[in-house]
Amino acid sequence: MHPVRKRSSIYQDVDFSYTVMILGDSCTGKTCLLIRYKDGAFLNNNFISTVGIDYRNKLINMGDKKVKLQIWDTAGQERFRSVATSYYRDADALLLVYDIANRQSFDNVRDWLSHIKEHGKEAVQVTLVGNKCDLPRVVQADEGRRLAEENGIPFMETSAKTGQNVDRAFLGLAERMIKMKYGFVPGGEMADTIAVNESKSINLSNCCPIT
Amino acid sequence: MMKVPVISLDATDTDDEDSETKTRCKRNGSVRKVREIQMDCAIGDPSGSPCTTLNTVISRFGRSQSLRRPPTAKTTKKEENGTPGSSRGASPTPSFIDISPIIRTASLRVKNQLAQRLSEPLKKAEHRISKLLMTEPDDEEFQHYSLVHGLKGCNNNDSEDAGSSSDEDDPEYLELLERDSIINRYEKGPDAADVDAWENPDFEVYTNLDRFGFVHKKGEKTDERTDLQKRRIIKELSREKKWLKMIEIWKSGGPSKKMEDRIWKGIPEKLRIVIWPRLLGAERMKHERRDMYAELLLRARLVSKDIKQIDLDINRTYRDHLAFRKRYDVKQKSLLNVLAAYSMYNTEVGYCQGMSQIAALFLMYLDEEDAFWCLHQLMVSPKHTMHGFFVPGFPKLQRFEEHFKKILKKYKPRVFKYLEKQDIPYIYLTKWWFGCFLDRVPFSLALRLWDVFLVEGDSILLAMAYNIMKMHES
Repeated sequence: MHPVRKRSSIYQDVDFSYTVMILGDSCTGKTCLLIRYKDGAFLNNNFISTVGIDYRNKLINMGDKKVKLQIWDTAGQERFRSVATSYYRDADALLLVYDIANRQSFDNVRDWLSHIKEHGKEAVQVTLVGNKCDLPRVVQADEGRRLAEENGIPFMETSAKTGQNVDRAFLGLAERMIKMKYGFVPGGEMADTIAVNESKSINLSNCCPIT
Repeated sequence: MMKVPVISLDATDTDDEDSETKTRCKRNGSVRKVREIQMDCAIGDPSGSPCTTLNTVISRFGRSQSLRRPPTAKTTKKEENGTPGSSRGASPTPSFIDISPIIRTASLRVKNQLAQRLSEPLKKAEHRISKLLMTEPDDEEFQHYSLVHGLKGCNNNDSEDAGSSSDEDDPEYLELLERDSIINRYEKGPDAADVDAWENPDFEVYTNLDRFGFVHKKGEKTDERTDLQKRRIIKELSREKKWLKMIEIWKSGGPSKKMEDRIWKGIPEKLRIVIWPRLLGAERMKHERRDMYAELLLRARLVSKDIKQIDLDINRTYRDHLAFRKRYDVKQKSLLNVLAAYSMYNTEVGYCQGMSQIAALFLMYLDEEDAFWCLHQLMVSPKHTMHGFFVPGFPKLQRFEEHFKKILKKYKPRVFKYLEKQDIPYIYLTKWWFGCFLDRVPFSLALRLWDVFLVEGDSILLAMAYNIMKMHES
């Protein structure tokens, strides 16, 4: 058996399969989020700017169900938006990232949201993520929360460096996608598959969809 | 003497007033306030100690002041660089305090002119500034000049472009500030205090350097001293001799057949510095347009829109290489210069992510100006035309993608079918091709690929992509 085929056979067994796309301004930590989630590592001081688009598959268990997330990582530079657009037409969920230490990346969130409305799927699930919450903040958590509420999407703050809330951000998306389609979440909401680094109470209220 | 905030006579302050005055007279139309300031300035004592006033100014204006100051200081520097020798002696020690009003009015004027016409007025403005700097007027004239012009500018603004708002809201002006502060940080170099801690790597892991200058963590073996490596070094030395002989007889034109063959075997590490620019024809370009690069640099500092993105990417380019490891160090500065200058030279491409790696690769071997022309030749020479990869819309990428699909379908139908079945998009090709496999394959292999890429042209990209597929077919 070829290793490649073996892996694909695993993927064919999955119960649910979704496409998640990470969007946001340049240098907000999109790739770092992906790598933290996929490999549990942080690219310490060896950051690379993403050219074009990249993707990774992540297999998660929710209760007794297997869920495959195909996670797309996009380049932040405006020029690549046209390329990204053609892909996020098919995306089931989007992670919209800004940098809490960079005001401008937060200001651009509105642009992104309108762009998503225009080009994304109608039922696309969006989560607003304020990344780099290990750095001194410029954008207050309340501002992010308010913006998310205005647009009826969940909000959370993450850190790809410490891993805080990263799993939860992706898992929250998976739950919502499944819930929307099938009306239930296997294994209960916020399934115990999450490796929670900090006390569970933090930000729990932010994780639930405001619908 | 009354010390109302608006009447302090320090140059920096006056400079500040200009904009405030403007805002005011525009917003409220209050002429009275303006007149007041004018009067105060006329009777004011120009020799008031700048330090104390400066301090009060800073405390008074808090953050906005500190935001406003760097660009003025910056512009000064730029002019000094631009006209070497001419202006350097003119400014006394606390230079930015003295000349800032002029620079500021001038840079505002430049900005206004830019909105209408490019390049021509820019040069004129530069010329004017450097002239002003050479004839150092006394303080009173300074005040007079800056005030008159500041107010004039305000009136002009009112009549000419009523649509544009005050400085604070003008995106173009904000951009100017941002650009200047970025460049300023590179000018100051790595030892300036305001480098964020996270931007520099930990230096204790700095143990293992490979022969290309990449840093490896402890425990990662670089195999530098095995027998194999020794043999490789001896081989390399003998090849270097052959190459040197060959270069001697290489007068002009393209490489000979023999040289091409040898390039396929890899250019010796030490000779890339000579061979690469010649292969690309960058040397000729450099000689034909001698002052071009310096001029482009100047222009980039004033108007390049891409500096912010470039700065972000420099922070993420080959940080594991010794030369690019320290934030704002010499090579990082060169990288900024090359990319900024190129964004001015080839405005269609500007700056696109992926170019920073290429420029950095050139900079590992070449100096700034050579790297610039190499980058340029790589973009436009008919053999390589990377231009098409980087312009918005990426036309060449699409063309090559189609082409590659055809090749794969014809020669590796099994792989092709498999990829189609798994619904794997061809987007990975972007990463492969944008940097000609830089960062995608081990660096030593990437270098060999680049040797061949430079001599053969873009067909290598397709060939290599096909080869990767072939190697991993099973």
